[in-house]
Amino acid sequence: MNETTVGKARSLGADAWYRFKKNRLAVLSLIVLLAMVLVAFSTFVIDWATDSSIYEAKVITQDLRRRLEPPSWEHPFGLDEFGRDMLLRVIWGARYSLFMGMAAVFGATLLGGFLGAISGFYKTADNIIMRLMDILLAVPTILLATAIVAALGTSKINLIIAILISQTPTFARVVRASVLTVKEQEYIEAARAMGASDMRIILRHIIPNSLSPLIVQCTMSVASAILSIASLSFIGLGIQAPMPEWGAMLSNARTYIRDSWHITVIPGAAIMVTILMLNIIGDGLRDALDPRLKN
Amino acid sequence: MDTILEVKDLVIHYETDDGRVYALNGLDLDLREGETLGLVGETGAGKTTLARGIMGLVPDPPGRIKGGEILYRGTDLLRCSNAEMRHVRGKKIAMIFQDPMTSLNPVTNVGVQIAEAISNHEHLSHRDALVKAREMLEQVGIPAGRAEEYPHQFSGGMKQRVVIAIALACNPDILIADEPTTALDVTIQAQVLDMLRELREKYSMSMLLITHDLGVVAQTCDRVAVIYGGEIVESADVFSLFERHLHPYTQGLLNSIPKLNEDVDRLQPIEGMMPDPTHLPEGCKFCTRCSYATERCRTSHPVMREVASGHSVRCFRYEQEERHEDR
Amino acid sequence: MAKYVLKRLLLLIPVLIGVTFFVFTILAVAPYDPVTVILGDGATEEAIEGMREELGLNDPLLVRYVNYIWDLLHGDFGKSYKTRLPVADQILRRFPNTILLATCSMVIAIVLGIPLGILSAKKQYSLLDNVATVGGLVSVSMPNFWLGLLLVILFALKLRWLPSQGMGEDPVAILKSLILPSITLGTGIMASIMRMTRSSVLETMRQDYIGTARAKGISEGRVTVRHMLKNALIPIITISALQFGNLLGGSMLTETVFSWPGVGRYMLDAIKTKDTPAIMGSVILMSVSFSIMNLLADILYAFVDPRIKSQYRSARRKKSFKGEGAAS
Repeated sequence: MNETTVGKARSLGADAWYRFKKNRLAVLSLIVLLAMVLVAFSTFVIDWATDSSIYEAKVITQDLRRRLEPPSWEHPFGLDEFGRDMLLRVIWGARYSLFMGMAAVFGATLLGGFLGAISGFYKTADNIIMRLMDILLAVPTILLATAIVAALGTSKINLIIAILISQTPTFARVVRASVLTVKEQEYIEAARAMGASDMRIILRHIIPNSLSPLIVQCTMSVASAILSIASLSFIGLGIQAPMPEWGAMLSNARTYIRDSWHITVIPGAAIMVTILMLNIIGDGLRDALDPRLKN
Repeated sequence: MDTILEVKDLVIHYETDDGRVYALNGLDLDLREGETLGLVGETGAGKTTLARGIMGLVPDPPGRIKGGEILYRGTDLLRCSNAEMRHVRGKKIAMIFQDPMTSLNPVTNVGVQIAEAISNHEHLSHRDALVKAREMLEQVGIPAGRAEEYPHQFSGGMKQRVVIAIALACNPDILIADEPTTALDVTIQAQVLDMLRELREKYSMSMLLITHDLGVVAQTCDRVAVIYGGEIVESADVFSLFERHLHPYTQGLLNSIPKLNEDVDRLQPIEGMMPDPTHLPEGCKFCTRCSYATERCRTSHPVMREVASGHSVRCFRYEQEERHEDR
Repeated sequence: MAKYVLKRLLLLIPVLIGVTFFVFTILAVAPYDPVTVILGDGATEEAIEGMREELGLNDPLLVRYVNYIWDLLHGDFGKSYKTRLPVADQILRRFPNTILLATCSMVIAIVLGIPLGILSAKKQYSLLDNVATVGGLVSVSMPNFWLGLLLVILFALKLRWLPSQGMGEDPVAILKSLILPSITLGTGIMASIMRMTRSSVLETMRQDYIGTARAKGISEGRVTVRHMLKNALIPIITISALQFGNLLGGSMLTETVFSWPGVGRYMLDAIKTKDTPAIMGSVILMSVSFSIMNLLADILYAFVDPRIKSQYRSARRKKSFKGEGAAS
């Protein structure tokens, strides 16, 4: 009964954006997340402009006389176990979670998307690629990332590689599934009958139609990548102290858990809020891109 | 004949994100004991909403029953509690849904699905209900041995037979069939319709047959009501309607189907589209597509007027005609 | 049925070979020398060479892999580089503790997650639904090690109700020490199961057969359980099995936070000391457990959905027809 009202000519993207905008929580989350990205980015600018002197002085330099000072007007998030301002550390720490998470997911999207598209499209490749993905999927994600980091050694690049590899199978599966569905559609048959090449079918039909699940998966995957980075840093295999990575901050806070609660609560809350925003946006995108799922 | 079901001034709206959908706007309908009433209209006219309304199964949200009465043997179903309605559903009024492919539970075998209705209303043990379920299957022409099979093992026509068996399992007074043959092959359609007709007589039920197919109406029904924009625009017994179709919409419907005794090169479709159900026209709902529409049609809403015995129509044109006759 | 299970078990073998090969290879090419791990930096040339020979490190990768698998099939996971103790004993001693923790978490997650998801779907947009939806989102977004630390602060340090570290000795103490880690590990999974149950039930609620069921006049409870839940179950089973993987991965962190003597913590210690055989053994054990869990889920599908069951039945029928054809 509603079809008649929705039938106005709007492109899929515009239509999805229109529906997304109606989801106030998702829009709010998007704004918060964009603000976080902006703040994280501006720390690079500040470091570049001041030749890292603010970073060194405020984020790294210790002041042991004032260690574990609780939140106050002067320091809203309090001071950490070495007397450093927690707010500044959380702000400077955002770059690791956000940008490394995005980089890993970007790589996984390209690699997994490529593998998935090939195996959805060519039957011979399908068997080999999907069996390989099955193998990677047989190891729980965080264990896989841990094992890779353990082997490669801890560095930012290795961390990204480990998360990239552990996320790749998910993307391969998502893209393969949508390629297979799209391939079955009659308009692809029609395009083929009219002599369209494989390349043209992939570019004109399959990629646009795989986009919606891919976008949703990306959002969710960035969330899970951020969790992985924090987890690995927490167990000492990711970013190392004194760098202000949130998981690493939590790891240090553990030692002082009896003395002070704010150094445990704050970095974890930062991780949670970031992931929460991404999850809300992901849910909102899924509902907006696939209105069938919503009432 | 006594009236068994009477719908009075029923108003049902859907509150959706895209605005309020005016599904039913003061619909009146009466079903008499033992008759088959055809309800004809195109997609979006409010046919299914009416059927769900009678069953008390309008999904809420988004559906809202804004007013009216549904009298079953004098009791207003809209005032019944949920528990009371459960005794009506399946036992007094049963319903067959449009698409047999999706109206059976895929993970439960068909015997249990029929037995469930029986054990619920007849207070039989599970075992006895299953025995009766097998009998019902035989009634609709399916070997009782297939009771343990699952819906995916049946063809579309067979599934619709199972759905009918579920509906008739407790010998209801009224059967509402919502486009029971639309999703089926033409050859199967006739079989299912014949069976419905036979069973209706055998169980002496009243039937409300919802369809958009006037051919089905001519074959099966005693009376017809034509629905447009959530209200009845014309109602009559089958013979007078096919003899003398008055409402421009009914005329349009009949002109758009091929006739065997006339040689026409081109069928005449009804111009235009159903109006957007969130923005129905103020006056006559059909005025946007009617070739006779006047200024009056656009501004004021015509009422149902009986133009001959048992034949009513909602159109200003026959107001004059009637006056003419009066003089 | 038995045949299907057997077939699925056989299909597991190549996957496990792949997993072991993958993990073996990346650890073998790791840029650190296991011999220095064992002997320390100050070892003599001969000692190093002797150790390389003893560990078989001079053989080609494939030979070493085949040897490792051969030993593995005989229950030998090799010796720890650090402690020189057999890895198999070490892991098997800790495995029951991990299973105990995982089972408790899973029970919490399922027992709370499914009913909450159903309620939330049935009362869509109600206060309960809104609270559950927001709570679910927050729970899936929470790093479980952080939740663990918060629980420790509140229940162990402030309120002093429950122990924060280790595993108790007698049953009551074990139970007490199990509560916080199980909640830590179970909360996120519960939220995932709840979210999946909600959306899956919402999906089935809109199906035509629910209308048919309601039109029969049966009670709402029966409609919910017999018609909605039964149809909504497949994605719920899938997510539960998948979450079991997160559970095993998460146990590494949770066991660290609570000093729980399980395989996860053992593996983490092994990673820190670069104890390759111990890492290998733990990863393989966890992957096998995860694969078996997924296999169980696949088998459960067939019990829930007759369409899946008949798929391999008809496959078997086809095969038997072929057999008859060959005989005649």
